[in-house]
Amino acid sequence: MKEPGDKWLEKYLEGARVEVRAPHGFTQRVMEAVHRESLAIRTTRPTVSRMYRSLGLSFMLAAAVLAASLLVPHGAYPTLIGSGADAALGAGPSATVQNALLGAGRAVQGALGEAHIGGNQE
Amino acid sequence: METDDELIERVRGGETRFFTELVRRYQDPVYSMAMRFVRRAGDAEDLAQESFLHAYRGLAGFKGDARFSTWLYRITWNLCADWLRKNKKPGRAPMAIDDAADLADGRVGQEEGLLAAEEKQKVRQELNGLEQKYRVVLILLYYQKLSYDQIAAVLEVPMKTVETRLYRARKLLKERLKRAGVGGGV
Repeated sequence: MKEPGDKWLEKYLEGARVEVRAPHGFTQRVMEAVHRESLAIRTTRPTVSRMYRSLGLSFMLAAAVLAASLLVPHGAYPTLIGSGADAALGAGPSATVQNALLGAGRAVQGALGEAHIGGNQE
Repeated sequence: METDDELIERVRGGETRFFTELVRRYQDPVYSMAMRFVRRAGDAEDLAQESFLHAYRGLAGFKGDARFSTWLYRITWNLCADWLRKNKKPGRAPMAIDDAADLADGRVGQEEGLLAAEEKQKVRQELNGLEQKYRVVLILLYYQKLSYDQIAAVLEVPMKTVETRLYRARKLLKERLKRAGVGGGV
């Protein structure tokens, strides 16, 4: 879609053209900005490996808490029940259950006793 | 010498230093495009730098449908268009690209011999006086030396629109130059 006068116009546009070049040190300044940005991204956003590590640690911690909550009461039964005749009562195939019941009974009795002492001063 | 695509692949692979070569290759056209549109050396440098940063950030998503250069020019144009929208002040006289203040940082070389200094000044003045959509296509074609295809991709308009705008732009500029007494055009 050029017209006859376009050659003349092109000559004028070409004649008025100035050569423009980037200032000295431009590339260096751009790359500094690029490096700054890469660094900022790296420090603000956790890497995938770090995320997996955190996830693994959380999982292990949760597993440890769960295991402790299951094991500690079992381990504590003999201490709660005590020794001697009570311990002998606990011997047998259903010892754990008996010991637990005995321990619970004593705990309730103890609690009631304390309530009686604390609640009724007469 | 590695191609743009090879350099892009390396940068995507985490070798950031290869981006330096891309910047070196395109710093002049990107900076000159910004300079021709905003006509202030400091702002042109900021915009050119921002263009490369945008390109770096978007490199992972660059599909390669267009050439890297075209994609980069499109980023530059979009940033310049935003700048022009924000800095549009009625009555503010456009600055000539070769004004002393603008030469402070950037490197601008005059092409001697074709026209008298006064004529050059008038041509630039009349070009700058055109409506933005016409000025932009003339600058991209005659000063940035982009093809019609590239102009269409940079401005994100159909090729037919580029042709129409160029036709109108040439016509309007010829009329303005004629009125300004330049060249006694046809």
